[in-house]
Amino acid sequence: MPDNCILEMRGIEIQFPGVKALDGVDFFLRAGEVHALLGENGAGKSTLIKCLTGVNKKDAGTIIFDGKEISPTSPQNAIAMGISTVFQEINLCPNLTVAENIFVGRKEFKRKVINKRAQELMKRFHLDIDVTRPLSYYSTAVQQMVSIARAVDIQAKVLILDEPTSSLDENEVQLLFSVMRDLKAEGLGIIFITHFLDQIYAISDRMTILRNGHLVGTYDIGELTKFELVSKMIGKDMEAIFDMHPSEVKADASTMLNADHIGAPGAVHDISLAVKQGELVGFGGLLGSGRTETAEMIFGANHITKGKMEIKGKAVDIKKPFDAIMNGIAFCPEDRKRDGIIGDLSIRENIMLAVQARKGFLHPLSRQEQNELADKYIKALAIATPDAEKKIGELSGGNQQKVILARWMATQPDLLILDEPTRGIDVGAKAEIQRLMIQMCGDGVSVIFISSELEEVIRCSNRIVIMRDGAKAGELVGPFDGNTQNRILQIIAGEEVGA
Amino acid sequence: MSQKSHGSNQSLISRIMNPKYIMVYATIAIFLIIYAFGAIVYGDVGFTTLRTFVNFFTDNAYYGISAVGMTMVLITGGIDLSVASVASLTGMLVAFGYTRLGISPVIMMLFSVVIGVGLGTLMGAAIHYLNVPPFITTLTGNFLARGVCSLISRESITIEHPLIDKLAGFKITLMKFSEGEWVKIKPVTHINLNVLIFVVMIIIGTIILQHTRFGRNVYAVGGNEQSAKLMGLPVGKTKVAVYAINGFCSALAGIAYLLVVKSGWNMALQGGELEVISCAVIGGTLLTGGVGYMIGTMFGVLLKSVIPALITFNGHLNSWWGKIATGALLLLFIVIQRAVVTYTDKQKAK
Amino acid sequence: MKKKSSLPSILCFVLAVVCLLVGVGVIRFGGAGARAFLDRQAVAFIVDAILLVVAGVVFMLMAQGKFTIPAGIAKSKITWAVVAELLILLVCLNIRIDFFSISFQPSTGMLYGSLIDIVNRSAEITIIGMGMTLVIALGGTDLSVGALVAVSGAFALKLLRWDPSSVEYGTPGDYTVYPLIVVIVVPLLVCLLMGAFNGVMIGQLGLQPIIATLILMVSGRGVAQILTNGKQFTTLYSPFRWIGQGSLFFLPTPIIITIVVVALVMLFVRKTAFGTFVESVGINRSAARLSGINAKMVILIVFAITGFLSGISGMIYSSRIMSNDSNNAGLNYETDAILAVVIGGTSMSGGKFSLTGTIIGSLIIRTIVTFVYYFGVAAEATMAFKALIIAVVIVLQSEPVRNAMAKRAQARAQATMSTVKGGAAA
Repeated sequence: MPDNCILEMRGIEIQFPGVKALDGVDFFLRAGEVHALLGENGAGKSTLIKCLTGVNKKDAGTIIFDGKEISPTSPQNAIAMGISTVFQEINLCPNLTVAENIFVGRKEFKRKVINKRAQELMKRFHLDIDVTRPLSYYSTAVQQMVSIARAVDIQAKVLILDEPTSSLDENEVQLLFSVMRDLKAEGLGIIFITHFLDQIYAISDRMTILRNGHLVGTYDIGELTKFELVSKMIGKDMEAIFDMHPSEVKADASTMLNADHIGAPGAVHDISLAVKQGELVGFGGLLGSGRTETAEMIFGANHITKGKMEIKGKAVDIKKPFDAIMNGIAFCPEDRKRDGIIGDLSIRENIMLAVQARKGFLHPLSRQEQNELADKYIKALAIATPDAEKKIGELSGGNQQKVILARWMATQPDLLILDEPTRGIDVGAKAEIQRLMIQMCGDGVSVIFISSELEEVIRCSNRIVIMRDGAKAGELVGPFDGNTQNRILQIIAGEEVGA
Repeated sequence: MSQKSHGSNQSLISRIMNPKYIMVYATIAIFLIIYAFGAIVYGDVGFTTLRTFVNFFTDNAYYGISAVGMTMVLITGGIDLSVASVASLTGMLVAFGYTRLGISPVIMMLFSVVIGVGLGTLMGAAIHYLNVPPFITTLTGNFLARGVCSLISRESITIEHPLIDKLAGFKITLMKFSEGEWVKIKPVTHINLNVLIFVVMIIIGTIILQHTRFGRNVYAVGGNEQSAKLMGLPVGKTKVAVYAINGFCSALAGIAYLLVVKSGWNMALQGGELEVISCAVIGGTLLTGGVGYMIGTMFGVLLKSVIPALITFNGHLNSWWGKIATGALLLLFIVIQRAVVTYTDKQKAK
Repeated sequence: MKKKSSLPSILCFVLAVVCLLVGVGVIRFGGAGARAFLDRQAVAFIVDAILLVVAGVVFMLMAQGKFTIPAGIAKSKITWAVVAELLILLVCLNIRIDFFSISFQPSTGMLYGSLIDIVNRSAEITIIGMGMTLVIALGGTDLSVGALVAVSGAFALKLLRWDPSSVEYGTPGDYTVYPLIVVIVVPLLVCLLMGAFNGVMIGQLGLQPIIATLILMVSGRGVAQILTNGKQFTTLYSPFRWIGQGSLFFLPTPIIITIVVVALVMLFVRKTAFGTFVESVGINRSAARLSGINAKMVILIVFAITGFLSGISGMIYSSRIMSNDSNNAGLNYETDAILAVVIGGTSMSGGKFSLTGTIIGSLIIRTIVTFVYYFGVAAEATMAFKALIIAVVIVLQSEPVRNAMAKRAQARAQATMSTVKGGAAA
């Protein structure tokens, strides 16, 4: 056991219906260190955190905290023991003042006292703000700091920061880091989860990597290069399952989409992009690099304020999703639950929705047409359901994703944009969705494929566009070899200017 | 960081300029504008006298008392449609109890307060534990109270009791110190018991909301119930308590109304719940929850009184213009609220 | 396999026999009054006996595991509404059988009776309820419907009586100043526009439905009063009387109007894709938008329809009283309509809706009122009855209760399954 350990998690196992989310994971946190927890989506990071904060129950393993074995039952319980968590989503009350947010539900409540203490606390965080103003008055960064302040001020010994930087700009990140350093110096153990590789190297002392619910290893920060780190996160064992390769783009293929220096304020400043008929273009880049925002711009969910867009050689002005649909564009959004499924409606209704929206409600599809449509795609996409009348909300994530895909395939689009279609679904469904994508390209549909998993982007795409900080950082044309991943990572890391 | 400012040495100005008070300021400003308008146009016929001003309080005191509880309910993000019926039931219980059963009005008043609090608690529990929408729950409560009221009596029951007369007749005559002695203000201006209760309730409500742990929880629940739960606050207890308090306020409002009309009537104060809600909303309380101040509600009540007063002073306009003016006022306020919300969102985006 | 019966089924059969014996006159007890009551109610007892036999058979089959209530029916919220309505009617039947009597009056060419009356008088709420169902499916509420009823009536009376050339109101009589078509169409269009105003504020400006419609609720009656100078006018114009008091196909006209409106709304909602669009926007507005649905337009149309339907209700109401009443026309219609929708099983949080459920909800509300009138209970006490029945229905429909019942039903089904299997094995 490493010395000075404040938290030991040994042999943690968590079983979800059908999958083992965590399988014998060990995790040690020292007092006074920043420990990065890394892995792809679905690797088990958040499950491990949820186990530690009492949201999920562990099926096996022990947690020793501050010398005693514990088994937290709820987030409150964990907080009471000294394990505080700050989530990416801010769990505070926007209408309360900064001071009230830090102290609500605690012993002190007199205005004068809490205002004074909050002011001191914020000073410690290098923030000179008026703590008597409502939280909603301040930027997300400040709100994030306030939630950290609340977490820390409850005599925490372990602080978990789950993606705290995803909505912060560079200066704000630096501010957060200086706070983290102070807290570290005070002997707090900090678990830091982030998608930004640079930040890991900037602030962390050690890191633990998870993959598919297994522990890959724990390393000192100097031990691994960025590239080695990413390879360990991605792993190579997936390749055997997916032996699929994109079909060739015909030499005489016409241009489907031509975007010329498009941008929208606050999201993406400059993207130029051409997609040929039957071409599969992958988007690489980190979370928040502008991939989703670009897709939303093309689809009209975000209004373009700069640049021009052409579809099949004709200039188009897409103001809302409906315009995009009329121009043959389809879009599977990233957040399936929030933007994709209509939970209480049946599979049939969910599938026919976009086709119906395009026709307008006055030209309804007959029940028979709807049934045919639904049955066709349930069969083609192998959606696991007894019939088309089951509510989509009752399906598994992978099947929901297939229904959303079916919704868009039914519109017979010329250009299909898929934003993280394989996130959070099991390996089998993943492979099927990739197969469908490639098959559609063979049929002459152009596809833009966005994924955080570089491996699948490289394997499926004809061409890869790499994004960084809201702009295109580079573009690589296939066929790809073993060295491609390396090059993409270098472009993402800013070490090489893309071709 | 752009928000860096004058934080540590909190000047009075910065405290007053706190953006969370903006809606209250809007209410007060609009009240002052309308008042100034009245003063200019009808100043010569007595609009500016202290009596006219005190009458703004007197006219709608019972709505004001009820609005104190309603403000709390709205801050939690709920709504209570039962207040007017509960007030009506209170009047009926006291009048019936004394006139027909010969029970002392004091006992009946206490009894009806118990009924009000009990019904409030029940509704709060249904809302929180059964997850029935507040709108439906309190609408059912509304029907229940109104129905029981009608079961007791279908006619108006007049109450004549020395205590009621004494309470209703209680008044403080305002004096001023002039030329070495206290003289009555001209025209003679009284403050009656209802106005006193109203003002005291506003003060108590302010203390509860601003200076107690419970008050803080009320705001937190309305701001984000999920977060409040995660912060370990007693969400359920807070919600139930707020409806119970509102039941108390409704009963008290019923007593105040009884002192005005000196009778119980099953159809009294019909539609009053929406008057009460609109007082709170005009006073800057957000129906989405989380925002609202007692002082704003008080000015909301005053605004409700000043419009009919203007129409009376005008003498030519019909009273129904009051309804349209109230509607227009509501529209104005929600548009201002919307603009404020959009503005703060934009500020934050920067 | 051994025949199994259950206690409830035995109880049902015993009671059925008793009822039957009372019904055919074998059992008689009590004094002359009781005997007269039993004689009068004979048919009711026979009906009870039949229902009890049916219930007994169902209980028995359920105990044997041969029959389970289909999950669709057990889970449906409409089931409770239907059961409630039937139970109320059953109570009526057993108190006074002539509650169910329907007679034909040749002079008016119309059928009369409490049942007819229930349907007739529920017309206003049912018609508004069609629009309110869609509003609630969007996750909103419309508080302005009652005020629009008043506006519609005031406008109609103004057009019937107000002579623009002399700018005066004539004396009441069997005449109209403007042709009937104008008297009907103009107020309806005004209500449509007022509904659209709600829709714009909610869809385009993004205001909360409750507060946005509160504006028209408060000021709508003021508008109605200004239209008619705050006075109440009466008319004797007979074609106008026909709308609320006439008859068609032996039925009161309001019933026919209701049937037509319900049919049109159902056609519009279910035969076009509009219903699905409404549900989509109500369940997940963001996803609906990204699927290409114009959510703002859907909201606008729904509120405009609701305004229009309120106008129709107002027309029926003012024809019933042959007058305008800016203070009382449509009073509390908003709450009655919302209740009808909620009792009918549409959730206040939006999403899936049931127009049929709303009709049943509206009938329940009216049945309670008619029941109270018919049996001479204080009319105002209706409210208390309403509250109790609504409270029961709503508690039964509430999430925790339904979840608990679903769990119990599941456990019981499993238990019977295992006993049946056990029995078969033996």
